[in-house]
Amino acid sequence: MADSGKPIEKEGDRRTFLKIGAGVVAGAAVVGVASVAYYNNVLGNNSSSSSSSVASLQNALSSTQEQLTSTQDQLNSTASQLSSAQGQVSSLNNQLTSTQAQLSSANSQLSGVNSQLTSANSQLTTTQQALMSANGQITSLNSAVTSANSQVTSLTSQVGTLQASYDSDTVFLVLNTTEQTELQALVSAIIPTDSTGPGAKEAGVAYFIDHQLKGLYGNDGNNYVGAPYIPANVAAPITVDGITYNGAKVNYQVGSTTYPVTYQPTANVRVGAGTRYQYTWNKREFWRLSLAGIETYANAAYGGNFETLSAANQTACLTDLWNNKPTAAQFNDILPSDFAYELFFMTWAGFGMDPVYGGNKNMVGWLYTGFNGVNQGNFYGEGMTTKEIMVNPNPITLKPASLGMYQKGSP
Amino acid sequence: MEMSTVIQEAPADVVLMGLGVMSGTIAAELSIAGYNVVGVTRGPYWNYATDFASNKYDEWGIGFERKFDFPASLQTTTIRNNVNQFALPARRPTFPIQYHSLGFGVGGVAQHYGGNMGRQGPWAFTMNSSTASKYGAGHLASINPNDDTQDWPFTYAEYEPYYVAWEQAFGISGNGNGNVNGAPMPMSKNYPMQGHPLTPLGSAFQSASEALGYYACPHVSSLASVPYMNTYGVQINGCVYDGWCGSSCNYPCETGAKANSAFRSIPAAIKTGKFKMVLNSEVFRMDTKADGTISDIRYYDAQGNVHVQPGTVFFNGMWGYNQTRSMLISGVGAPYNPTTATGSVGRGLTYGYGTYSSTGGPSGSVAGMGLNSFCAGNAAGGDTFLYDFMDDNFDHTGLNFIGGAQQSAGGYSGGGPGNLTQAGGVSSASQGSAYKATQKSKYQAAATGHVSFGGVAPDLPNTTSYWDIDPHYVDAWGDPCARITHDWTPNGYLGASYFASSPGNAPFIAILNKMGATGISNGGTVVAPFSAHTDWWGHHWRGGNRVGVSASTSVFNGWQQAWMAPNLFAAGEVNNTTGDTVPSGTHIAGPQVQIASEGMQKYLLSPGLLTASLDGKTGPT
Repeated sequence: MADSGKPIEKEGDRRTFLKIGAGVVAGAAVVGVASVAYYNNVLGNNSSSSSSSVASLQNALSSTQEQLTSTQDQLNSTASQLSSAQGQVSSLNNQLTSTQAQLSSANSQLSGVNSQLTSANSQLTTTQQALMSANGQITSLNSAVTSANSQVTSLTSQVGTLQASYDSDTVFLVLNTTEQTELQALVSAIIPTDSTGPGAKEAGVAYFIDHQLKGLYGNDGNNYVGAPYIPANVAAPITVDGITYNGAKVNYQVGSTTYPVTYQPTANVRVGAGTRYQYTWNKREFWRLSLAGIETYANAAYGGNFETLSAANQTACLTDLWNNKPTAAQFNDILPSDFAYELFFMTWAGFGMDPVYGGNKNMVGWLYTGFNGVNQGNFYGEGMTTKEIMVNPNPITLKPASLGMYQKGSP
Repeated sequence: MEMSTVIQEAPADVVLMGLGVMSGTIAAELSIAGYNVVGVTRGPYWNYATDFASNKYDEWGIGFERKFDFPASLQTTTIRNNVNQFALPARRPTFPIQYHSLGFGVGGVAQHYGGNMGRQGPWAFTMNSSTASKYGAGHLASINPNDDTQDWPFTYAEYEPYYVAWEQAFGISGNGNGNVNGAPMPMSKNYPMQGHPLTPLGSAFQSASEALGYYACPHVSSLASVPYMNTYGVQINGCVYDGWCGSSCNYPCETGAKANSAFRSIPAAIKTGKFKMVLNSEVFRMDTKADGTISDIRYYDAQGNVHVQPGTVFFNGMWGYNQTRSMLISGVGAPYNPTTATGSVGRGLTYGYGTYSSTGGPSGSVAGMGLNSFCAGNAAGGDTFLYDFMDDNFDHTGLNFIGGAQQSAGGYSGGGPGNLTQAGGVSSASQGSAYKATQKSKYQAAATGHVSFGGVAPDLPNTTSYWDIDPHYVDAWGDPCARITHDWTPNGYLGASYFASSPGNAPFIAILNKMGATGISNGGTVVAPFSAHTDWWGHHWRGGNRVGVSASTSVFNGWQQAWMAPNLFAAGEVNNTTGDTVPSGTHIAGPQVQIASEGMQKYLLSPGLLTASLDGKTGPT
């Protein structure tokens, strides 16, 4: 051990040693070592005494030396034992340190377990409360499920209503069944269903026209309807409200060139012009009279109702109307070209107007013509603006969106 | 029928008839100057952000049923080509072209116009005298039967500061107005906003024409190209180019980028607290005092009550024929008599726009162009134009016409799918699979751009075209409708013919070649003048209520002040004296309304006929 060669001079040091050695078991051996050291000191101090007693003393010394040797042997043995004991003490100390550490750890664990226990108790309380709450929610959810089932029933009913509403877009409101069949054939002849895509039939053009005849257009709601009604292209002098209009022949001179011009009593205005339509009938009656006129003419000229004619004869019949065949007198006092304009115009309108008006179903007209509708570049997440597309040198197709989709705000 | 209640209104300093583009300027400037202003309009005060944000995407409702217009059922106009004909009333508001798109409410017809702008150059202000000095004193009379052409009261140089003032207030987009060999149309200040983006075809035309020594400008437009604050402090949004704009000028603007008084001048007037706006009311009379001045106007409110609105000075801002009609049925000024060629109200009526269905100029096709024509539209269509073939910018020696036509290329039509039927209308050819195939992908797929040039020279004033009161037809309130007696003068046709054949077509063929065009046509048949053209009308009437230097041939003096009623002022396209074939009478009337504003303030300080000397102010005070 570290302190073995060092003299122990003071009680305090010994206590310190003991304390350091800390072994109750090793206490007696420690006292023995201290006594031997004391005698050695005394004998050493008396070695110069008288010779008479030398032999005796030598004997005694010898004996003592023997004893000393013996004692030293014992001491050596004891020291060895002490060394061993000290090793054991050290080992025990180590064990003690280890045990103390384990104890400390155990205490710490215990503390942790206690803490966990407290927490677990708390959780248990919380869980119990949650369970109670969950029970309440289950009750509530059961109620909601009942309510939802009720809503599903209601929505199913609404879907039925909407379907009925959609179906109403494919319902005729003005034209009779004979006129419906004829009109379907007329508009299909103008915009046929062919290899390039859907036609008037798929677009629902006949329904568009029929619905227009029921509303503003059919009733001339935004037309000026004041009297008198004087037709365009009148060649003979006319007197209206006491004023006579003779027309005129005028020669206009420009440099050396003469332009002779004949002005009829009323101008010969082209079909479709705002000054051309001078009929007393509103558009609804105008259409019905004209549809009847076409069937009469188709039978007379082509041997059957329009809807029964071959494609070639349908085209020929429509072209005849533009050329004012038959005469107005044979066409219920309507100039056939006036009706041809309305028919063609309204047919193409039914192909190209927003689906809300009953034509252009599923936007087939817009898909065909490449029109974007209300898609301004990002309706389906395309990530473009029309300002960018405007300057783009490549043709760009935007999938169309309808007014209804736009107002709803989503595809 | 129950008798109308008559309601006497408190007198105002300034009374406005209508609240369109022209009245809006007066409302703003006179109220800012401190005067009490009352303005009466037939319709509502539209709020673009709420009224047009979603329901403008309705082509049938707007373009066909005209849901934002004054109802055609309440008032029409009749038309004939010659004094010995019966004038037919327009019974339908639309198709094959736009007949009757009358304005309805604040902003007037400019709520749904094209917004095509562009200054009128120096030549047109002195068309009569400069033609005489350059081509001979009798030249105009020899090429224009029954010639009644007059000079304007002022020159371009005198109008120029007023152009600037109006452009800065109304908000004009562009970059120059065309300059040919030494700038015949000098601008002391460029337009306040840059031009619109160019389409690929517009750029190609610009490059080709500039390479040949011409000067191509972006389309001048009253559609704001960028956000802008005008001289009245009103903030303006830029155009979004969504395409729901064009197609015969049908669509109101959901961003307010398309200029009209509702989004430019009226907000400034309201802010002064001096402006009273009377909506949904129909002005039907001006009453006069013994000295000829106006004492009051009368109008019906929506319930049919009659209101009497006295004032010190009056402004007639009605559009087109209604300005003239209101003077005729009120007995203000001397009605024009075509038999004696005397009187001035209704006199000098011309048409300010292209007139023939086929002008037959050279054309060709240019490959590699996007042609996403559903974008933009109207005056934001992305085209460029040349001023080089207008006015007297090319020599007319030996030619039998004067003036010319603006040339442009690359504009996208925008607009709704009704272009299917609207562009030229339907005919017997519009049937069957072959025709249907021509409509396939028509809005974007064809990467070949078609370009055509030419166009008609201007319609010239003569003694046989005029406005008066129709003897047969009345409006919903029982007052007579206006009657148009007008036929196209040979000048337009002869100009178109010149551009459609050699040598007049040579510059256009050169441009087409420079653009790399294929299938170039040298030009074709031009429709002859006179008669059978009674169906293209309703907008862009020019003259008929002219400004001039003589009370015998004009209604208003240079201050836009009525000769016969000095407290009545007016401005508008019908007050233009002459012009070339330009897209915008509105722009040309711009300086006129700025001058009227100044004149009215002079009158309020010192009543009486004003002397014809302009102050040349540079902007609103």
